[in-house]
Amino acid sequence: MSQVLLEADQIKMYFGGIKALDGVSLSVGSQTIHTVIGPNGSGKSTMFNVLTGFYRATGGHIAFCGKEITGSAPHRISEMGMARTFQTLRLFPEMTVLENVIVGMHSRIRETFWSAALHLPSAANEERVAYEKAEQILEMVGLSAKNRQPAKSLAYGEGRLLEIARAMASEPKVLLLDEPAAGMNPSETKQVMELIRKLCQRGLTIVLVEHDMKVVISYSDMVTVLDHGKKIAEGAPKEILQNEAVITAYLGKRREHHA
Amino acid sequence: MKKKRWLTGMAVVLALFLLPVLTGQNYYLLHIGIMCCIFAILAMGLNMLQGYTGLVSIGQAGFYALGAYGSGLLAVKLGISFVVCLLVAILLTAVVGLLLGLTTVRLYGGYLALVTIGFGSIVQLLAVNMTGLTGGGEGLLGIPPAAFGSLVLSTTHYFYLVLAITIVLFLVTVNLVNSKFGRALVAIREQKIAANMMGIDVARYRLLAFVIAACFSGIGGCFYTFFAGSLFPDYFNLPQSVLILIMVTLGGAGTLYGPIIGAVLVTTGFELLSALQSYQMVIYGLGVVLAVMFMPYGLVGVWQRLMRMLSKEGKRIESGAA
Repeated sequence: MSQVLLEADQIKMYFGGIKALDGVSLSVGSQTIHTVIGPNGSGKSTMFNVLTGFYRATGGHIAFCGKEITGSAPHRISEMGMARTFQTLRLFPEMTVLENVIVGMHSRIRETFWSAALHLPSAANEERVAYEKAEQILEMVGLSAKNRQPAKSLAYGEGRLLEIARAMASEPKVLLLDEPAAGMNPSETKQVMELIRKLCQRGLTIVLVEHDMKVVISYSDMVTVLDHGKKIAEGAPKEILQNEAVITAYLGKRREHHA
Repeated sequence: MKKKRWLTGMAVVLALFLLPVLTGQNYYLLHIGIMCCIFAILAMGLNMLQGYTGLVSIGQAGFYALGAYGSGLLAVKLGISFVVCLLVAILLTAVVGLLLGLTTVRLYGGYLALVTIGFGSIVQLLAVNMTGLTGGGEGLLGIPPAAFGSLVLSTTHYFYLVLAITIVLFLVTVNLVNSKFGRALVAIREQKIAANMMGIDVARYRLLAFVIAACFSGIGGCFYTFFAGSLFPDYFNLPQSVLILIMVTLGGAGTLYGPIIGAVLVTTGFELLSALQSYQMVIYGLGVVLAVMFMPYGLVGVWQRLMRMLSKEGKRIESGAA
């Protein structure tokens, strides 16, 4: 495996007495698609929220590009090159599709307050470049035709693509996708997964969260399985599909059920 | 399209500057014009907070008062010139805006509205009770008219000055709204969590919006002071804060022209409907209720929707005929 880009070490996240994550470690290699799967409530989304700084972990350490980011605020982590999408769409509904993507570029746009307030040539130039870049990104995900529409007018699947486009706009090193295929039909799912594969081939590192393992497993380089806040298995997709503990977590034990 | 907008803008500005000449420098009309500008400045400031960032403040009269009393006291007690008074008013309201923003950084919606009401009341009570400084209910009297050196501004000149500043502040607002700063504010309004994940420091941008709103009110306050010549605490009461809120909401929160249209409508409305006296507030209140229920972007929003419908209708007729 290539070098490690994102490393979580013994992450614990307790909400009162509930141990949402109980000592989970994760090591994401550069330019791979790393999938975290697990049944509902296994701690996948919590893991994402800890990695991106929305939750402050009860214990453990996170390193990104070799730098400790434990306890950093989301906007700082974002500036360092981590981007994410959300399980439930979190677009800016009243903004246009194009503007949504440009907000994603926030930390890459170099405008000082006064250059923006007075619309100095430097700021005007930054704006022009940002709009051009945003249009390119939207073309990549196939939303160019809807540039000027408000984001709220998009269909659900398009909204998911826009979330990916917006995340890409920040020029991230690693992209965290929280159930990108949720609520999509099989052909839409395939479209999204092909896009994700394309992004990875272009040099991006991807971390995926998914509860339906069939959807993503064929696209993954590495799979981590969580259950009840603990890592129960990790390995290549093929190994995972045959892993006893994983099957038990998803389907339960046959004998116990029939007893 | 852009060129057309520029030309329209220039025509409107020219018409506004010719207004005093065309009306024979009618004092009453100039008075209304100046008050329209002052309220437009106040409403544009609040619009940054309420319209773009989605944070409701019902305490803008507090900043209005700070700017007014700050500059008025300097002028009366220390004889300091108009320009310095204006700068101090901006600085003072910026600092207080920052402090209020910091103390309310985790508050949203009704809770934030309540604290800002409290802030407005505190400022007003200070003006009432610090009688040694402000003159209390007796008023702060004898504020000289604005002057640059030995040139004392006439009402007409003052109208030009306030109008010019209003236009400058409007352009600054336009520029900010169309920059990463404006987009960050709207992103916070629309989806706070996603905004944060896009690298936007939510707390910092909130503070920025607070400070801009405060500064605009401070500028408005200073201009009011040198126009009115005297200050009374009663003027900066809660209904005054509500009135600024009404202007923004009615004209169109989160639109560029909304606050100006709201300010002009409400200010001239007060003059036109003066026979109705206190019943006016009932009318404005009703307007706000309707705006909140049916016009999320106020009158500007209604206008835009109408234009869009007309252009669609036009296209349909064209294609139907072809």
